[in-house]
Amino acid sequence: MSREELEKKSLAALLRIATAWYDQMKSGEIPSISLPTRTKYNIEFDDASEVWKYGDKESMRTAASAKSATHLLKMAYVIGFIKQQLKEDRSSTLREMYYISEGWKRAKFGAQDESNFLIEDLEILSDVPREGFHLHPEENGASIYGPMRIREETRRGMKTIHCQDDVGQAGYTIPNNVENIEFVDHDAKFVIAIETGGMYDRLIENGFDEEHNAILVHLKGQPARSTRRMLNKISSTWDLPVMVFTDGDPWSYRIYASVAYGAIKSAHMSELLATPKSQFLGLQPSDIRDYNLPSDKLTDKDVEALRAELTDPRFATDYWRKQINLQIEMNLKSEQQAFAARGLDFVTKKYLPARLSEMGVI
Amino acid sequence: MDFVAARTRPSSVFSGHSFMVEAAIGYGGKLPAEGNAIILRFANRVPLMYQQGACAITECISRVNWKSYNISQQGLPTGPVLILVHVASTNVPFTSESKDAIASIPEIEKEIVLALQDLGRDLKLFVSRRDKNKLAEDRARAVCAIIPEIAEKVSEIVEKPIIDTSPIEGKLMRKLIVKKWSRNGKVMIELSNYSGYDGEISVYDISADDAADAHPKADFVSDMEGQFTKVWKIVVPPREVSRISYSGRGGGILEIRGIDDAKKMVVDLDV
Repeated sequence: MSREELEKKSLAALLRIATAWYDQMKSGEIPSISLPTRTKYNIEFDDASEVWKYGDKESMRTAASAKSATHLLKMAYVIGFIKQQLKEDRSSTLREMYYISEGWKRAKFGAQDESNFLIEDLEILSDVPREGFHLHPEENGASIYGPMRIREETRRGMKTIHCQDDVGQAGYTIPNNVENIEFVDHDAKFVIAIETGGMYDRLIENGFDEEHNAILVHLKGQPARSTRRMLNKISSTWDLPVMVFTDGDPWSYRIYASVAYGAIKSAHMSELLATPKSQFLGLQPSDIRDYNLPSDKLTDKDVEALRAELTDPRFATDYWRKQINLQIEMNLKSEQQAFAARGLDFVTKKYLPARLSEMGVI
Repeated sequence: MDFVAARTRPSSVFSGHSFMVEAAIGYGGKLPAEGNAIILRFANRVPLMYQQGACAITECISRVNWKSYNISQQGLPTGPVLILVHVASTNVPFTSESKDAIASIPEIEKEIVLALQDLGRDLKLFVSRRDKNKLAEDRARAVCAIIPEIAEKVSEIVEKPIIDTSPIEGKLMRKLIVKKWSRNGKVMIELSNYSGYDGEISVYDISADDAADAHPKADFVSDMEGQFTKVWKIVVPPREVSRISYSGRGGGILEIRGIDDAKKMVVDLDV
């Protein structure tokens, strides 16, 4: 979808919400909206798109009590604000919007969580990602490095960037709005999404991207939306396999899950954000055993998280059950950097080639 | 105090001496909202000033489970509560010659606890009714104050004429709704009658504004140390709206009399 189309769509969707309220009030009804309940009990697997989406459970918000009436009032103010922003072709960060709300008297936000949540509500209601509202998060996206060429529409005109030759040591920074990027061409065989910056730098320093024609993506822990959208777009545009390389602990498996299947908070946009074709590269619990990696003992919280994952439908495969049970049995976890114990080149020369050929990628 | 109740227990006997317990409870108003309840102890109409902790009355008060009457408790009940207990007897069993505290006699303690529990039930009823009224008020505030704002904003967004939300109000409230607000140095009081009541009502508006230019003119104005009490006597026929306006800054207290409490709702939009 092009920029103009997206803007047109979001404006129309927002006006539709406002018009619905207008008509409700005109006919003497209390204005109301209904939204899907956003908990893990209302998440369903969509077979067609292979991602997790919200189910049918809906909750109704009517302006019959002061609290929910204020919520609707805030929503009305935000819609008005976005409308004006789209008209003037400006954009703002979520935090800026929170401060702008200072002048909204009764509709002022108490905390930023509240305004973020409201924007997510609007995304669900309008079926438009927040980029369509010209709102973006405070933090920058992560970075990307590898043999690919993109064209980005910037404030200062179109720019064509090769993500190896035209960027610095740290790579190309993924912008907040990935929709403005056009994917020109590439020379890559696969994508590796890496959890930690240390490992990302190690792979660049060792020239792994050139040797194996790999695109390296730094996830920066739990990946931001723009990072997930970028992976989704690379995977769908160029049909490249996406490998997720994280630490070997329960929290990192969740990073993989949010890349592959989508997160609960953004389940309304799973189709845009999740990359169902991505595969888990490592660090697997069996690697800790096979490579005899330096490791730490699991804490009680780790074990609890692993047990929770065993009941999580997203991890309900033989592979994951085997790995998670193995980890609980060994009672060990390791970081990506643990490979350094076998020398700085071990991960790029031995582990990754071995693992990738095992997975049939090289 | 917002609530006061008293009980007298039937007379009873301990060790051959007859006695009787009376108790009273007060709640809210100017009582301190924080800290322990205020305890007033009496023996044969004489206030007991000292050794509160050693007294059977204090012991009985902490023994009652006040939480089941929606009163918080840390040993003694806490919050805006005042408890008074009087023990009258032909021979009050004091703990010592100083006559400061009543000794713990099981018969007396039982009577005190029963009296307090009885009062607790009354208090619970009052508190829960008050909370219910609060809920109704919350709803009224939403309907009368916030929905018009939503209407204003939404009309602006869809670029259509502003919607009149009074039908929503009327449909929901079925009451006499009195709204007061101030804007640009003008104070407005609007009375919308959705209740079907057609008698005369009195509007009491107490604030720092003298309302000399009020329209309609106040029927009665009194000045007390810079606080003006303005009274209007008006009849608002059912389904009609009356307005009062004057120059001033607003604020203060607004009260409506002459109509049943359940049939009226007063909302100050400036709050």
